[in-house]
Amino acid sequence: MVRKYVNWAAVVVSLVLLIASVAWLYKEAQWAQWSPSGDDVQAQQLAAFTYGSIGLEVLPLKYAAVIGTVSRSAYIMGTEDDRSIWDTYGFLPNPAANDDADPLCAVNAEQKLPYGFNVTNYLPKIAQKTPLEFVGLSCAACHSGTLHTEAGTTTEIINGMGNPALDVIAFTDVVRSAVLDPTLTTTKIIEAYRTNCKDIDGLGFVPRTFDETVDRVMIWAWLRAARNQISEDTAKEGLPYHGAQLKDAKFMPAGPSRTRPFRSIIRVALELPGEENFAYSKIPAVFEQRVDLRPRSQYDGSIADPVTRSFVAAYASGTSLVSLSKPEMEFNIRSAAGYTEELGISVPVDKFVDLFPNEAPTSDQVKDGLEVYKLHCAACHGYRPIEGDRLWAAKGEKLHQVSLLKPVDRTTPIGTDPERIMFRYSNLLVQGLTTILPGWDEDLEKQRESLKQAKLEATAQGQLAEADLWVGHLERLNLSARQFRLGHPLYFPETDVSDEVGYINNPIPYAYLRAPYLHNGSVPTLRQLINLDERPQSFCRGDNDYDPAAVGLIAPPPDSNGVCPPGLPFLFDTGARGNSNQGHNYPWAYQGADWNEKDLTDLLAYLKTL
Amino acid sequence: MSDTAVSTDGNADPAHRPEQIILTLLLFSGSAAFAVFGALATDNVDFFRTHATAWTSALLATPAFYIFARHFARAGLNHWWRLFWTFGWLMIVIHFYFGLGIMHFWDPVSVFQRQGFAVAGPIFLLQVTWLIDIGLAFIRRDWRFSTGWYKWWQLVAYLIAFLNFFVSLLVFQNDIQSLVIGILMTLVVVAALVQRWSDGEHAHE
Repeated sequence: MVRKYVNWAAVVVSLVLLIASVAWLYKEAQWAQWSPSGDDVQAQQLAAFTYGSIGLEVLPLKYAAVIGTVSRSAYIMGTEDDRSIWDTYGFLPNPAANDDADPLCAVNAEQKLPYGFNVTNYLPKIAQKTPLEFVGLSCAACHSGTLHTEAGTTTEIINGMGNPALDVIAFTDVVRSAVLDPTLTTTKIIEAYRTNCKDIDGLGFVPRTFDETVDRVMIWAWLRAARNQISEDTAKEGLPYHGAQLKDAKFMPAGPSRTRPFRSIIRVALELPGEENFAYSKIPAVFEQRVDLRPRSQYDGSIADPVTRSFVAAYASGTSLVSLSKPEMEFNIRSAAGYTEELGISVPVDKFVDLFPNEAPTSDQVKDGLEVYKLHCAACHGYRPIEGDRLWAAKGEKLHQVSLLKPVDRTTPIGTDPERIMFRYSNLLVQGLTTILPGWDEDLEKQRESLKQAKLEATAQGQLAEADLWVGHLERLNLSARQFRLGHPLYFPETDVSDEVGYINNPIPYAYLRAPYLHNGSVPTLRQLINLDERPQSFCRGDNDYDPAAVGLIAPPPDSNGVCPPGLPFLFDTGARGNSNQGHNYPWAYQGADWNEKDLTDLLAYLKTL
Repeated sequence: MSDTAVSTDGNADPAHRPEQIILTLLLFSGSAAFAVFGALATDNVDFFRTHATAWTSALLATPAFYIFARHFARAGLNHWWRLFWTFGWLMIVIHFYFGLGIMHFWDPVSVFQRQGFAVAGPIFLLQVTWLIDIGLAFIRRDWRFSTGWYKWWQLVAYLIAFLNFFVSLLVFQNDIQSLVIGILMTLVVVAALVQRWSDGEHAHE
């Protein structure tokens, strides 16, 4: 009798396991069905840029919906008013959202989440399809923004500009803190979500549906895995900052509109700590990235291909090679790169005069300004004609050249801050990056050979630890080659990336949308950049108003105690390492020899038209 | 492992207990669930599933390798052999789906390009020979005591399967799991051959 029951139990267990396995595999295909939408390439590219997944899923949707209540202590800084987590860190309100008072819930998430967010069924990091919905960031979350003036006007969202208010590094620490919170539980999330959304999602009648049980299991598993991952990463990244530290430059030195891309890329590509890295970079504008206009991108011109540039940006932001190997993510990376190539050319971008007609310069000023520009700026940046189709003229004797760092005193020829190009491990990055995505066949062999060569060279120079680094990198490449059997779909040749110890001279389309200026965002306005006004030594940053007259951000100085107001809490000190606002004194240094207010005013007028 | 009842007709199917089917089914189901759900805790789900199905196919086939090495052309094969051989094959079919379908996007040519003919050829050959061997084991009455060409066929099918696993798991040494399973599988077969020799010695005494 017992034997019979055991047999039946075994049969039942077998069938349950089999059916569950088959059903899971079947449903996987349903949870995140994807194919490029329609035949309109520009529409596909816009969609990829604004809400396409690039593997940057962050939180379960149901947790994101209630993070403001269940994890409030992780994001409140004590220096600001009662804003939402998204507003606090500078994400853009979604123009698709209704004005109703409904909270963010699953049914309205795509409208209520900030602009540039997406909702997918992909697990963070591995892009595995699951029944649980996740919230992720697309390119537009960082590379889009609005301009609001003191007069109270706000532009519509402008794709392609760096978001001047976004404090993405502080937001990352908030998420890390929130997830590590020992009091955060699945039940807490589900209960809070049910309280907020039961009427909106229609969960009122049957509170414990099958779906909710699945959500519970999945959120539990995600929370456990995320905590393990973050705990593991603290060895390399340290504990996250919290409270007022999140907007304090002493702790979080990047601040609004800037990132620390090389700290990130060193961590992921070389698996080394990046804490000693002071290479702060403004979130760049991504207009007119076509390779005939911009054969090499990044501030140092280190990347040739727009797709490779987009890959590196996504990879440094936290996506994984596995995620980027999925057809949807690969398509979105390629399409978003394509979008930036045409953005400002065949894809229209608002001109300065469209947004600020009262500040429109006169045609005489513009004409005179072009002459000043041609004399002092065009050799490096090319120019935009003031008549005709106004396509950027990529002509100039120094255009596309890299102004190399002087080896003697480690300064740049244009005098700007050198930290962006001379950080520790920068000399290893090209080797690391070009062997991170396995190629196929001969390309893979070349990658292996280059790593073996790098190891030999390091050994010959007595750099034994570096030699060991390349041994580890070769093992990593070989494992990757097994995982991506036909090569990684975003593989790029080594010629796409180079080690440029200097800043590249590139075109500057839509200059009025590039504030704050210089690669490190150390100059708030264009007037200050061309030295028509003196550059401030320290100023306050946050969600600053835009000044169309000065073409840039209104960034007030701190009070006499060196403290910034609550709405603009981040104190930008240009004396701090990596923050220098010196250099690029073109046409002339402020009130130096030949300084000419009339010419500079005309130049500013012309720059408004770019 | 021996059948509980022995037929008086050497070629007739012996009786078998339901536990034999239930146990092998349970092992197969557990292996499938391990591959499908265990992958969710890894960095690369498809990669893990491809490997896990190969590991578990080898593990399921190992008892069949043992029985074959010890009893083929001697005491005769049995139900355990046929069941483990069948579920091992089913798992290799799932492996084939992940390996060719997911990892190689259903492009068999790329498998040959990547692995070379000497490695890829036997892998594809295995899919055919194992399938045919399973079919024959279920339609021929003499599957336990094969004779003539069928006997040679069973031997060849066995060798192709064993050598495929041996090379994939032990020679390539892709990971520690493969190495351990490969060593286990080989030791089991060596033990079976030693026992086969020992059985022969005792038969002569």
